[in-house]
Amino acid sequence: MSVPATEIQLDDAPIGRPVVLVAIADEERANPGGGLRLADQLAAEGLVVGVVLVPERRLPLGGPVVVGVGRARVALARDIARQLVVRAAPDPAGLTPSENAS
Amino acid sequence: MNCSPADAIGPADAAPGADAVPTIALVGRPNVGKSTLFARATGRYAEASNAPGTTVGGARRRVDVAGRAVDLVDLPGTLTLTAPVGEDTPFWSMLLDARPDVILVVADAGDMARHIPLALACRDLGLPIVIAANLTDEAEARGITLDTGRLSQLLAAPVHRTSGRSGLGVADAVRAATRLGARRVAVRSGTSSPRSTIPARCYPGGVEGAVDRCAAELGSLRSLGAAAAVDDTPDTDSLGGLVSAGAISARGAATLHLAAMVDPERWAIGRLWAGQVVARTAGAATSRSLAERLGAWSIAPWPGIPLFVAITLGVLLAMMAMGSVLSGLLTMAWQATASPAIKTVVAAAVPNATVGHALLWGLDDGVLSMLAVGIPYILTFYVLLALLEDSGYLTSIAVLTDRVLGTLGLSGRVSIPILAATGCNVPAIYGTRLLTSRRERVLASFLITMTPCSARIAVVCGALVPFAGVGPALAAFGVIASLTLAGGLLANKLVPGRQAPVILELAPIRRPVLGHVARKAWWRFESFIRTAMPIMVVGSIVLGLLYETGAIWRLTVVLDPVMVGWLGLPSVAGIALVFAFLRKELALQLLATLAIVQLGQGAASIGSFMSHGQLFVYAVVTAVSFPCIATLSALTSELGRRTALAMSGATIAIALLAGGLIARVIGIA
Repeated sequence: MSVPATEIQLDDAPIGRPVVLVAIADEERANPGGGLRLADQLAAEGLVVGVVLVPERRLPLGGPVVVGVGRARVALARDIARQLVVRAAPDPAGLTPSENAS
Repeated sequence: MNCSPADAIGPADAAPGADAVPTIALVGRPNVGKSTLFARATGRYAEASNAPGTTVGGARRRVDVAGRAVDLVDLPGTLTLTAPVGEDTPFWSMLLDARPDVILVVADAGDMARHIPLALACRDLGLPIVIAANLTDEAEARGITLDTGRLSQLLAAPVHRTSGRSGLGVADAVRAATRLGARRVAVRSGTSSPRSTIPARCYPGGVEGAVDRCAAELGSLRSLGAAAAVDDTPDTDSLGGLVSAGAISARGAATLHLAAMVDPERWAIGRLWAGQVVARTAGAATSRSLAERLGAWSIAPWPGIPLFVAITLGVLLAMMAMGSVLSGLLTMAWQATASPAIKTVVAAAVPNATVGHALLWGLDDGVLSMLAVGIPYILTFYVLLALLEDSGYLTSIAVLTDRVLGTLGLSGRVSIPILAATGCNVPAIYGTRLLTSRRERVLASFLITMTPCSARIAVVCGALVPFAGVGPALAAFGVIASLTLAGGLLANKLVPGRQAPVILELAPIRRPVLGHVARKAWWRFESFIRTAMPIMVVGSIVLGLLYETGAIWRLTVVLDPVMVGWLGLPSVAGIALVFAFLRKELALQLLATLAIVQLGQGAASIGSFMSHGQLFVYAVVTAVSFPCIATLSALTSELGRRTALAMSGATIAIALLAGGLIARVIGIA
């Protein structure tokens, strides 16, 4: 799936800058460990289209990407992070109160 | 936007003679303090693991609430109602198996946006719900206040601020749930009429329309009394059956069936409602708390990796140091008190000396083995593991080591159990419950059985250091480590399936509550004793009978071709290895004892009848081969008999293959 210039993979998103989840590239992909679709697994962690994420850290040697979602932090394998298409979040004033609270 | 209570549903499919005790099911996301709240409400800790695949049922306890008996059921933490628990069972199936009359949804008062979706999903089932806005103390410390009145309006359900740790509000929440549960029981028993309500529309029109159509189809199945499928989706059979039985509403079944469509809407509502009910008090600190900073440090390469190394080494050293001291004390106490008494009773009750001695193998030595290994090492490990779990640090370790362990098909969560295995394999195998899939548990357990525990480390050191020196002992450990790594890589190739890429919510770092840690550790230890003690005692008696009747010597006929022919070891070494199945540390003591019986007093020192090369092969084969009886028991309990036996067979094959090759390289066979 090609990524428009304004949209990037989460794996490439700058650390500390809020981004909005725009799309999940391979949302039908099944999890080999559990049977749920990728989109369902992500939804269970609150990673649904439209949510604001803050990339916090990329672990070295291809380790997971840690993102902030509200008050929670979620670690995502790089493979997963590459499936998430994001773009820069609008001005914080445009976010919902709960998103600002985090 | 406001949602009414769920549509009224008919009486549940109560079993004949079912009593009128309401059942309250506790449901919540992982790490929300649900089990602590359960413990606070019932006075007893019960483990319901957050790791799918490890929990087969919730913990149920009957308590008295304002003079009324009520059953509380603690279920494992879940992210959604459709998330799998175990191999194929969705969480909702486990929830409904508990036959709840009311659901007590435990949510994080400081992070309602992430917890409202699960509350909505529970409410959609058509069962009454009560919200316990838990961890209130933590939220308030962060300057977060929750408008419970408004949230109650939005969810159309009672909302109570609670803190499982301090007990704040727990009784009120349980009382509210009991009232709703009692009302439903009255409906079920026909002494009260169901309250019919019209469900408000929470979700966008398209989603509501799809839910209505699906509910109508499931409802028509109900009216026909059938449990047939609406379409090809596998779970509609069981959903139709549940609607037919009145366990959930047709709308509830439809929202389960259409979870992929409804869940994103629940998250949108969660964010919206959280914005309406959560406020930060003026002047509250916006900087990160110490716990939040610790959480960030714990996953950074610096200082996260040195911290991880220090903590894991600390756990290992603490387990070995405390284990060694406690083991010595318990052994002394047992030999001074219980052992003489048992011997006296057995001698008086069993006239046959051979049978009497065999019984003592189990009742005296077998029980002592459990006490000398179980309490000192396993209980100590469980306390340390519970401390790490309660602090929230385990998920940080999982993230930090995920990439490295990924080469073995494992996630980072396995690092703690594997390190613990160097103390004792048994708690390490139980520790794999932290893992998220059966494949990971199988791979981790296999790696654990090949990891030398303290007893096997003692055998390697005891066999080689006094007779061959430190160099050969280090070389033996190098060979064992290489075999373990090779075994892990091979298992990753052979065990079907792929490694699940990590999607893991990091638990917040918290100060552990000692009472909670103690209860959790003791609960796990009790489970271990119940499982392992009978096997240990019976296994010891069987081995005792073999020894006392002399039948053990006939084993040499079977073992010699392998022991003598392939490994180049003396005949007596095979018997010692068989006995080491009981306790690995016996491999050395018994080798000397049996050698005296077979070869005379001159064989008291194993160095007198075995060459350095033979000692090297014996040490490696003992360290890698067949797990001890307690480990086999743990493997059987956790993974099933077939998997346990397959793993044991694989370790024997690897040990014998490597031992034979080493014997040929060093020229002893």
